[in-house]
Amino acid sequence: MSALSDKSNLNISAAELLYKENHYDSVCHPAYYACLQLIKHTLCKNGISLEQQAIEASSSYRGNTHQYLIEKMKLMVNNKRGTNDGNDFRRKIRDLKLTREDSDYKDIRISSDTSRKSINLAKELQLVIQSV
Amino acid sequence: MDKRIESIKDFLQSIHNKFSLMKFKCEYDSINHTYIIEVHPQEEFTANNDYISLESDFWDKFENEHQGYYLLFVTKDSLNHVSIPAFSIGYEEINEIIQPAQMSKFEFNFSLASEHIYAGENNYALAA
Repeated sequence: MSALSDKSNLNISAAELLYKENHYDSVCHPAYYACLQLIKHTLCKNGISLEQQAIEASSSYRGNTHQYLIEKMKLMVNNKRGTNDGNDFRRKIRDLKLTREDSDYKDIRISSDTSRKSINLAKELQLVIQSV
Repeated sequence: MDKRIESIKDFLQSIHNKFSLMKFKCEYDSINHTYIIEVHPQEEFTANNDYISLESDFWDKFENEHQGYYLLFVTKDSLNHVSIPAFSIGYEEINEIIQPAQMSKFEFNFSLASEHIYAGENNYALAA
C-alpha cells in the first residue's frame, strides 16, 4: 500500500470522525481529497508517475490538476469498465468537488444530510477507482 | 455568458426534442464558474444510454471551448441541485420547476446567524 492510498483511507476515516462530532462543514473536504489521493495513486500504479502527472496537468489542463486527474481517471474507467461507468464517475466526482468548494469557500453551512451523502459518495468513488 | 448559455440551451432543447420526457433546469454558480444542470426524470438520467453519451460529448466539447467554465449534470439524488433556474427546458410552469417537496428539504440552523444557509438546499428560501 502506498502512502497516497493510505492517506486516502485516513481521509475517509477523518470525514467519518468529523461527521460523528457534528462538524458537518469540515466533512466534504477530506471526503473529496480521499478520492483525489486515490486517483493519484492509481495513475502511479498504471505507470504515470507523480512528476508525469504534474507535467500533463500543466501542458493539457493549464495547471488545473483536479480537472486533469478527474478526466484522466474517467478515461481509465471508460477503458476498464465501459463508457457508462466513466460518465457516471465524472458526474459523481464533479458533484462531490462542487460540494467541497461550497463547503470550503462559500458563506454557507453544510447540513448533516449533505455531509453524510458526501462520505457515502466518496466511498462509492473509491471502489470505482480501486477497480481500475 | 450569453454564448455559453445559448450553447447549453441549444443542447438541452435538442435533447428534449429527442426525448420528450426529459426536462432540464440550469443555474450558473458564479463563484465556482459552473453551470449546474438538473435533469429530470432520474430514470432517464441514469439509464438512457443514448442521452448519457450525448451528455458526455457535450460536456467535453463545452469545457474545451470555454476554458475556465464548467458543467455539472445532476439529478434528484445528487448533492447539488438547481435552486433558482436561469432557464428551464420542458417545464411548463414555474410551479413545476420549484417543487413543494423540495421546499421541505430546507435545513435552517436557527442557533446560527440567520444569513448562514445550507449548501445544496439553500436557495429555495431566496426564491420563495
